[in-house]
Parts: sequence; structure tokens; C-alpha cells
Amino acid sequence: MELLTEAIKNLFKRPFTEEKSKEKDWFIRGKLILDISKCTGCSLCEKVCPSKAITMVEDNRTKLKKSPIIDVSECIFCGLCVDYCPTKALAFTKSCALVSYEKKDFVKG
Amino acid sequence: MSSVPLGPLHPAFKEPINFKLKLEGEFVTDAEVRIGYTHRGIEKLGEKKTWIQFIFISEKICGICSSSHQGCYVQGVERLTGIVPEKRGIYIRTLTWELERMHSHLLWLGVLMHEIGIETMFMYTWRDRERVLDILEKLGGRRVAYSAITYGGARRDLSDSLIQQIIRLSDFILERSKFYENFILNDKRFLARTKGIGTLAKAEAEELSVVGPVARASGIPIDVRKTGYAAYYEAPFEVVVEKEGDVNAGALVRAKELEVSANIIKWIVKNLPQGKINVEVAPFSKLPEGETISRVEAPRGELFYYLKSNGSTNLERIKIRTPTLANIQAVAHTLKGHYLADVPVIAAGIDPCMGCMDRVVTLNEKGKKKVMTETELIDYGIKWYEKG
Ligand code: SF4
Ligand code: SF4
Repeated sequence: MELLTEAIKNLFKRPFTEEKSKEKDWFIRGKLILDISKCTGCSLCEKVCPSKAITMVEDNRTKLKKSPIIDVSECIFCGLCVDYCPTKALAFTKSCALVSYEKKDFVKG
Repeated sequence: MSSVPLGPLHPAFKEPINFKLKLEGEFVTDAEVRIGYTHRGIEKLGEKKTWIQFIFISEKICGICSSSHQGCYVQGVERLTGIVPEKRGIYIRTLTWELERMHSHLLWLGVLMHEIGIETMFMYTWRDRERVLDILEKLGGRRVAYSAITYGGARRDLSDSLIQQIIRLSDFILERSKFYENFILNDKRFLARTKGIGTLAKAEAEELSVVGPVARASGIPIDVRKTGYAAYYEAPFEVVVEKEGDVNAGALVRAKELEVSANIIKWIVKNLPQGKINVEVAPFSKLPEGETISRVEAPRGELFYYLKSNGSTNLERIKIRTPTLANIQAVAHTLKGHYLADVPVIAAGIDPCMGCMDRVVTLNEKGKKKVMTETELIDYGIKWYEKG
């Protein structure tokens, strides 16, 4: 009986699920993004990362000796690298749809 | 007399656990519990990572009481270093714990209803839980592993609009908990499946050292929050105690605790002090030598951490005792004398979390060692069970 009353009440209510991403103050720790122009190549992010998701590689993206690449499939989204990066080169984006068949899609610089 | 293995993979259990039941007709006469199927070696991992990194690994121990684990660990580290955490941070931390208790209790109510077969109620509780998760997501950035707690307080500050939303949520939960209490006390189908099922008398509960809502449902008024850590030493609240000790009493305790949590949350946002929210710490700072313990009341009961430091950046030893480990023996005990059909309800009744529980592993190096193929292992398993 209790359930029936509740069910009838719910008939006249608004839908419960709403599109969250439309809300202004929505905060989500999604995929990491690296602003390579700010990076100084200090490799602190590599050292603080608990899941070894960041590796410093030599490439020709910048003039730096080494710059970080992030393997998002290894990342646990703790945010330590974002907290400790001295130049605020790393940041979280709102994208959290991490689906792909290919491992290489997760690795980005 | 027959012997029936229940689990490790069984539709009634959401996580792997094995009960070896002895049956007399439909009645369970003896039950033995076997754990350890999801042991992940996180304690060992904690020794390999720096103590700052482990803050964010500790919350991965349990998907439901993630911030209890994180908070308990951080509280222990703060005791080791001897700092006084920021007051605003502590209040936000307590708020996270209480929000977590709400979502955990709602989740559990839903799971219990699902085990009984009242799927409509399962939908309602999980729908309400979604509201709590939305707030937690805004607080920490993730639905489950919110990482809202850090050394010296909390990670993110509360905005005014979030505070308003939290107050609205508390009112909503207060209203809903009335509905749940009414349902638990009056619904005929629910009463038929839970009243007098899985009864754990007070004396038995004391003997088996159960913790948390299971103990409180049996009339033992224990609650670690009353020891006054974090903001609980100021926040006014009552410990909910019921006498019967059956699954129904357990459900009632948790429904009433929803109310208690909502009131604590309202008190916290009203009395939120101003100031800093955490203490900054260098990425590779060392811990002073020493050992300590830390306890918090997780949604399922007392959570216990033992930390030992040898003065380096890593901890030397981390020992975790989760509430389910303390409660699981009570399931094996209360199963005796019940119908086989009631086993899932009784097992769900303690709000088990196997993922957290599987902390201990004993390796017997002396016995015979043998490498088996999959088919051999299956044959061996069948023979093992046939033997009884
Ligand atoms: S968020 Fe955490 S896990 Fe992910 S890359 Fe940064 S430090 Fe590593
Ligand atoms: S910590 Fe920041 S500046 Fe240093 S290497 Fe990483 S991204 Fe670059």
C-alpha cells in the first residue's frame, strides 16, 4: 500500500534525471590536459604520480629536453600532478567519456 | 544432511564470498565462511608509495566508503606529524563523511530490497541516492572516488550555491527517511521477509565483537563518532539503537541514521567556520618516526588503521581492519536455523563489502605445491565439493 501511494505521487512529478553538464558549477575531474607552452620540463608531475601515468619523453614538441606525456588509461584522476605542477601547465577537463578500442588513443602529450 | 557451497560466484552476492552450508532439508544447520577472493595487496602497495600518494590510493580500497578510508588514513598521518588540521577543512571533511553515509545507507537499503525482491523500492532508494552522489560529485569531482579529503583538511572549498544545494538535499533526505521508516515498519511483504530473520541477540553480538549498525541493531550503543574526532566533538547527534537484532531492526537503524546524518550536515553548514581548508605540504616530505592508530565510523562500522613510520617518505607498515571483517562471522553464526532462501537476505543484512574486507592473507609455504591447468582445477573443485 505504501508503495502504491508513492507510485501514484510520482506520476505527477518532473523527470528525475537531468542533463548535468548543462549546470554552470558542475565540477568534474575528467581527462587531463597539458598546456605544453607553460611546461618547464621539471618532471615533478612524473615523480608525484601514484600510478606512473606520466612519463617524460624526448620529442620535438618543444625546445625542452624532456616533456611529459600522459597515459589516461593509467590515470586514477587523483589530481596530484595538477596540484604540484609549479607552472599550472596541467589541468582537468570535463571530458570523462574514456572509451576506445586502441590503447594509443589514451596516450597524449 | 547435504552440503551446499554458496558462492564465490552466486547471483545473490554482488561480490565474491563463499559460504559452505550444511543443510538438513531446507534448514541451514551449520555455516562456514571463506573470504579472500578479492585480495588486492593494497597494504603492501602502501609501503611502496609515498605517504602523499597513498592518500589517493587508500580511497580506492572501497568504492562506497572511499572517503572514510581516505579520512581515516589522513587522520592517522596527521597524528604522526602532529599537526592541527584546519578547522574549516575538518568541517568539510565531516560533511563528506556524512554525505557518504547517506549514500551508502541508501545503496544498502536498495540492495536489501533487491535481495527480497521488492524492485520498486530498489529503484526509489537508488534514485534518491543519485541526488547525494550529485552533491558529492560537485564537492569532489567524481561520483565515487571524490578525493575530497587531503592532509590537514579538505581539498575543495564549499561555494555558497553548493551550500544551498546541500541544505535542500538534507531536507529532501529528512522527508524521504520518514517514508523509508514507514515502509520498513509497515509493509507486509518486507516484514514477512525480515522480521525475526537473522536475529543476533545482544550477548551474541558482544561475543562476536560486531561493529557499526549491526551492533546498534542488536542494542549495543557503539559509535566511533561519539569518541569525538573531527567535527563530531561539537556536532550534536544521537546514536540510533534498536533492540531486536534482526534484519528489520538493521534496516530501521540505517533509515533513522539517514535522518541523523541529514541533521549533522545541516548543523555543519550552519556552523561552518571561515579560514583555510588544508595544510600545504612539499611533495616528498618525510614523516617523523613513530606509530599510531586511527579510527573512524565508516557507514558500515568502525574502520581501523594502524600506521608505522620509520622516518622516510614511505610508511613502513599499514594495517587496515574494515568493518565487514568484524561483522562477517556474525553472518555465519546467524545463518544457523534459517531457511536456505533467507541466506541472501541475512548476508545482505550486515551490509557486506567484500572488496574492503579481504585484507589478510596467510601463506602456508610448507604444504605441497602444484601447477594445474584450468580443466584440472575444475575437476579438483568438483571432487573437493563432493567430498563435502
Ligand atoms: S591525476 Fe594522478 S594519476 Fe592521473 S596523471 Fe595526475 S598524478 Fe597521475
Ligand atoms: S610538473 Fe608541470 S612544468 Fe613540470 S614537467 Fe610536469 S607539466 Fe611540466
